[in-house]
Amino acid sequence: MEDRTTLGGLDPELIDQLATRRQALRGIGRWGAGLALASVPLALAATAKDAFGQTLPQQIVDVLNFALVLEELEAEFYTLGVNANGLIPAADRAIFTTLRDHEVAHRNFLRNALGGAAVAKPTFDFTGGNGNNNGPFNPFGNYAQFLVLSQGFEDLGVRAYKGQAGNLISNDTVLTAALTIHSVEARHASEVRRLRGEKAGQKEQAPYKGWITQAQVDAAAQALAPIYGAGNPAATFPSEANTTQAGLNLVGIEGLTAAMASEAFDEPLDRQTVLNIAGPFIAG
Amino acid sequence: MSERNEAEGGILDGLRRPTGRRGFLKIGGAAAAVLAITACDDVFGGDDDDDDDGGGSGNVILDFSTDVGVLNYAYALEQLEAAFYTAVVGSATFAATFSADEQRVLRDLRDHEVAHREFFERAIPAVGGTLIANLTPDFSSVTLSNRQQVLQTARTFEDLGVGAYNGAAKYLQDATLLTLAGKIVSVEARHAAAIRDLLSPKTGQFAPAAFDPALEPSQVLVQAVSFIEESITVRNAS
Repeated sequence: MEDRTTLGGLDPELIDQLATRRQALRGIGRWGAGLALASVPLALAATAKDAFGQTLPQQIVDVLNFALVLEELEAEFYTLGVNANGLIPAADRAIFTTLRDHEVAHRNFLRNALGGAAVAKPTFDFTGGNGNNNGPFNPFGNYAQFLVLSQGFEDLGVRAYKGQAGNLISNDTVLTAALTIHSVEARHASEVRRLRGEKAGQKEQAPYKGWITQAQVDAAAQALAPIYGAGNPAATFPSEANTTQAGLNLVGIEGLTAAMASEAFDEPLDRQTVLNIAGPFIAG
Repeated sequence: MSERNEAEGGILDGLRRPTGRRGFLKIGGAAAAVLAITACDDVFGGDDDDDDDGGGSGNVILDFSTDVGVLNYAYALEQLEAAFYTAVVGSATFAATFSADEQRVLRDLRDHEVAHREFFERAIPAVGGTLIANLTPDFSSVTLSNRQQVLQTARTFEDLGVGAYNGAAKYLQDATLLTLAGKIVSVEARHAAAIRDLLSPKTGQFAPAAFDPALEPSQVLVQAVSFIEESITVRNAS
């Protein structure tokens, strides 16, 4: 498949709408420092209504803001990581500049789409210390820990988007856009998981496969275990060890093992469980 | 195409329709979560046509105005992928062509696509639909002993699968089925990233764009057609 531009694959109409918004944003810079910042959200809000031809329903706004927070988190995480001197080995840099660029693009898209309804960027604490910057992680001083959090954020992001897809069913444009982000997060997760496997000398082996084997987490990443667990309610948001789809237990069919059956399907996660897991990294 | 096991008694009773147009799709297996599908012709119902010309290659018609049409579309793609990886892994040259690490990846991909195929094979009847025919794959254009050709074909199929699911989602009317499709598409994306990484390690090629494609069925079928003997037509979609 040929390389695509950042916006490749998006509905052309949506791209036009976003282009209009970006022009509006560029115009703001020329107004200088005297521009009252309060007027900016109003301008964006007007564009938001124009862009989708209607005001987005609150449920959809909520989903997009939920996604926006996660994308802000990832964008900042990778930006800081790429900029941390000596953190990422030269051989791996192309991977993480790619992740950074994608998350920034996702963040920009969501912020633009929401316009005046977008929440402010939270302050993040990547030590996992609830804003006290004294948490257990040192991702920008320790590459192994950076990789652990990267895997966690990506796998969490996949589950988070998947858990919200049903809430977007009333808007084809937003649903499709969210899915085109969701699948890219899954690509990210696959890449980082496999990279960690390479570092551990266990290429393409559980628990370091690009896909999730029975909610397994390696010893160094035990803090990530909740990401692979059940949500609430568990029947709707099962753990990644789940092997039953729509009431059908796949184990034993055509020789499928529990490991294979669990790997073949990713599971959604409910919003609150996602926020509970991400909470320590969000200061406010 | 491997033989399909008949379902064990009991386990699938909840999925199989007893009679008529009613069906049950269980979510999580809890009795309280059983979704009863009644009068489902407008959503799940309607059978996709299998017109067999009698000449050995049939014409498959998928109606996207029903969720069954979309599910059969997914089933077709999973049949193709499962057949491809089964052929790759089953080839006499498999171990000589791929490293041990790569063999693990390709075996996993086969297992996952088989799981997807088998799931749809049971789920579609369970929601009141008729399965499309077993498709006849054509991989004559791929030399299975050529690592590059196999991986590039795998990349095509996986990227295509991602684009197909992303593009088909808007046609699904039932939120449960949408979530089920969502559970599969992210795995296809994981696959795609892994294959692309085998082809271009330590690059950004695992994810060529910040937004994946969302392809209309016509765009997908244009790429898939050379690998399937039957012709596939989609109605009520772009």
